[in-house]
Amino acid sequence: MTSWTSSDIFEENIKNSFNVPAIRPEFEAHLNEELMQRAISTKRKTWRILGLRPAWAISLAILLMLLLGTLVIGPQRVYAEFARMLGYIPGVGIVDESAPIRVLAEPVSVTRDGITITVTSATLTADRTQIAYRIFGLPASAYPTREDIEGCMPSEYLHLADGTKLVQINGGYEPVPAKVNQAFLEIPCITNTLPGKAPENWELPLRFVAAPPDLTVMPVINLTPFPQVAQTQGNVGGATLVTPGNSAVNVDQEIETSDGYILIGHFQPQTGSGESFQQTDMFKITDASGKNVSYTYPQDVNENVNLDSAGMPGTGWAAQFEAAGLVYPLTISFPGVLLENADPAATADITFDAGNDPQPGQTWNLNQDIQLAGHTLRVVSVTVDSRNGYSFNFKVGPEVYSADVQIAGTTPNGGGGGGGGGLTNGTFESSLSYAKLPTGVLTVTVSNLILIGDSKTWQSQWSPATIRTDLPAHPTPQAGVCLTENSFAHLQAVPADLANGKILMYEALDNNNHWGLVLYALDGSDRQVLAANASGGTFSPDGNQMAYPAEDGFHVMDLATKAEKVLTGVNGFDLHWSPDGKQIAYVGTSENVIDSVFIVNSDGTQMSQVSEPSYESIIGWSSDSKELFFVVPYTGGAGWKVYSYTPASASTQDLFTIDNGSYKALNAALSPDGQWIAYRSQQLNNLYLVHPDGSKMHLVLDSPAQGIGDLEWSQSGWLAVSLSTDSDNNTATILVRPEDCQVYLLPNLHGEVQGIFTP
Amino acid sequence: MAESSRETMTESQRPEVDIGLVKAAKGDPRAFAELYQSFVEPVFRYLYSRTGNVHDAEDATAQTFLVAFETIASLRQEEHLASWLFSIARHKVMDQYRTQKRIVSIDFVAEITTEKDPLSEVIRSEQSATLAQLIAALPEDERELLRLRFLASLSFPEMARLLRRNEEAVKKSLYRLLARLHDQVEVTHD
Repeated sequence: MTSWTSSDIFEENIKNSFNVPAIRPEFEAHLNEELMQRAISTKRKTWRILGLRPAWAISLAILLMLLLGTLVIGPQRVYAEFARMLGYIPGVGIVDESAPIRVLAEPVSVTRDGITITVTSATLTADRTQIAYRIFGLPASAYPTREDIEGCMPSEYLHLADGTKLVQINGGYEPVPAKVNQAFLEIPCITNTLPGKAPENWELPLRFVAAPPDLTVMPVINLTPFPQVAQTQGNVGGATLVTPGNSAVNVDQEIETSDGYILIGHFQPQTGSGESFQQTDMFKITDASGKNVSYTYPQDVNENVNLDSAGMPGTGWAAQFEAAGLVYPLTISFPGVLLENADPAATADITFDAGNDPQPGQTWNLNQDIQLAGHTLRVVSVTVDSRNGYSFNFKVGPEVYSADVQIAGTTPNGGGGGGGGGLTNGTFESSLSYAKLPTGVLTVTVSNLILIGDSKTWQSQWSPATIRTDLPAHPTPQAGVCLTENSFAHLQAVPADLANGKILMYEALDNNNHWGLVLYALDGSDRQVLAANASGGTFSPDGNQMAYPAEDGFHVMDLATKAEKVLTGVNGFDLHWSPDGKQIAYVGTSENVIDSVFIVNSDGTQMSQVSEPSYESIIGWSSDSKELFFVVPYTGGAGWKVYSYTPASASTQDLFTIDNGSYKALNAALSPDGQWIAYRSQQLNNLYLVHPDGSKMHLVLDSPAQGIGDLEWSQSGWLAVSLSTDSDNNTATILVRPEDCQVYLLPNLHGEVQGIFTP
Repeated sequence: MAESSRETMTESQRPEVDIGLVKAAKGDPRAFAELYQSFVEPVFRYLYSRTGNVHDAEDATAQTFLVAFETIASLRQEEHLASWLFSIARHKVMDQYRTQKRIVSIDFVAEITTEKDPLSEVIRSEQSATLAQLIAALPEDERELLRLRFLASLSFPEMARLLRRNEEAVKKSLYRLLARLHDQVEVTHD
């Protein structure tokens, strides 16, 4: 299959092929008039509550059916009887299980020209066929080098023996008929590869078998089908009476997992006329004892999240959590503020001279105060943005959220804005874009002031449909786990005998978004800014020097004197100094590769590329400096292959695959004794250890915080871990010794750890 | 990605959502009128492709905007106005289907003579005629992708939101479909 780009003409022909007539001007005008008359003659009314609207008739009918159903089959899982038989398969998502489920009999691999495609799993249900495959060995040269060149966009499909093609639908393929147990996965080309740069027309023979009896399929309980009901409850004759509710926080589906639940819902607060709301933080779940319930977002149910119960766009949410020890009901809380229009008629004007030929990036610093509806807004600056428009930057008081701008005598073809005024350090931006940028002296009208109202928390409560008897009364950490969210809250500061170690951090140097490399003692004292506007630093093995990449080459700094030498011409990142101090491994880019592993002597001589795949990351050196470990991602990030490289023989060994690591960045690090590779999980909030031969993979940090960042081992076996602790980018740094599960908090260290040296 | 450059080309033809205008429309009918002017044509085009006749399309268009007018105050995410509006439009089609049972599928639209169609005189290209037949043979979900993109003029994020799908998946599905149609048109003409 060759690369193909849709042209404007082709797309116009598609549009024309629908043969849609032009809208009748008299209809358009009449409807406009009708709308305006309604606006003038009536105040906006809410829907009639038990009126004649069909939606309510349907709603009442369903309500009646529910009540009857509740009386007959019991209050729980009533809606399950009205829904399809839905099941949840971890890693696959919510499926229709009204027919027997089948799976792939065995993984299938095909290798051509050094590129391997492996189908790792298949799940066949009544509604779709889910196929997972991964690709390895694809050279970077197969991809376009420029953003404006598009590679192949394949139409993968399943091919049955009778010639039937099953095309892609809803994140999978059309269902394979019940009696068909063989198919071919046809991949015309690998996504985004250039013609002739990678083998095309791949065909992988698949065989399906009945799902094993132990396949995990959990029932999905629909709690609030359209129209939304089941928010408030009362008792009628011992049965639960479900009545129409008006809750902002809705739980739509409940899935009972092996250790807890997945809840899927939507958030749709009611506000008054002229009001809206702004969510200000992640939602929280607490149990009846007040305990915070730690949750993750279950990616595999993504297809089922996002729309509200009426099929309208809403704020969908989903949470997966462990349930041991929880006391019900749980309270789900969405924090936010109400926003309200100030005087809609209020306007204020400013002028500025854009000149005859304003250029993208050009800025006028106005710093002009205006009064709008009794509030002061400062127009800080105007900038020509990349969308052929003007962006207006405001500074406001804590009560102001936003305002709109218009340039007199012009008609923009779009606009937007950003920031939340008082919610975001008193700044916001409002922009206008044009087909032709207005020039000269421009009069700007500022209007539609939005004010920040009361803070509010929207809440709803949920209890499981049935009481679980299979869970322990109290959470019991898995063997080998050194830290959980609960124990993180009680961490002690690093003891005095470790405090004289040192740690290198990449952190904010000021409030103006300037970052750099900073040295600390492990107790957070002795702060020394080593290099502003630099990142990716690493300690030398003796801890006396730091190397970091810069535009002119690697800089090596003596930490005592701060004297620097530059290894000119060596460019890359992810620096790893060998334990014998003689070499630095790093990730660099050459003419033919993107992000491959290189080694250079620590004096900057004898640079050599040691691997050919792309997008690699270095794990670390063995303790004798004779082996270098690195990972290579499968195409699309479906896993990471671990390799070791032996410089003496210039040989590379394929070791094993990490399947459960972060797709984004594995952040893998090798322990100083060479026994363990630490890496972060797919969910980014767990940390695993595994031997370099792939054995004894186990969890060490079990969701202690929202996310795990960089990892660095010290020579004495302490692992420094950066944690993000909330959605506001707050961070913490901890020290873990996995061999005895000692864990300490490193006080006053915020940012990303780059290196650690312990005595 | 290359797609972004292509989007830039076509995005200029899509009705832009001015968030300030949407906010204003919650309390100011004049602002709503501006939104109406921006979206009435795409909504009508989409609904015509769903209903197959001008009368039903106009009826559903009117109902869509009347509902939108009544309920815009409840729209929480102003930037998603377009997907919100088209979700109302889709519900209106379903309402008509339930009550009238006379919705004409686009499969047959090519054969319909529309009486007050000012474009009926327009000579469609040979490619468009072939495309009409190919599109008529497509599964409903693929036709909907084309309608939402080229008649409703929705952006990919809006389509993804409306279809409850991942944006990348929607993009890929559409581009694959376009490539397939393009190949089929070429084969037909060879």
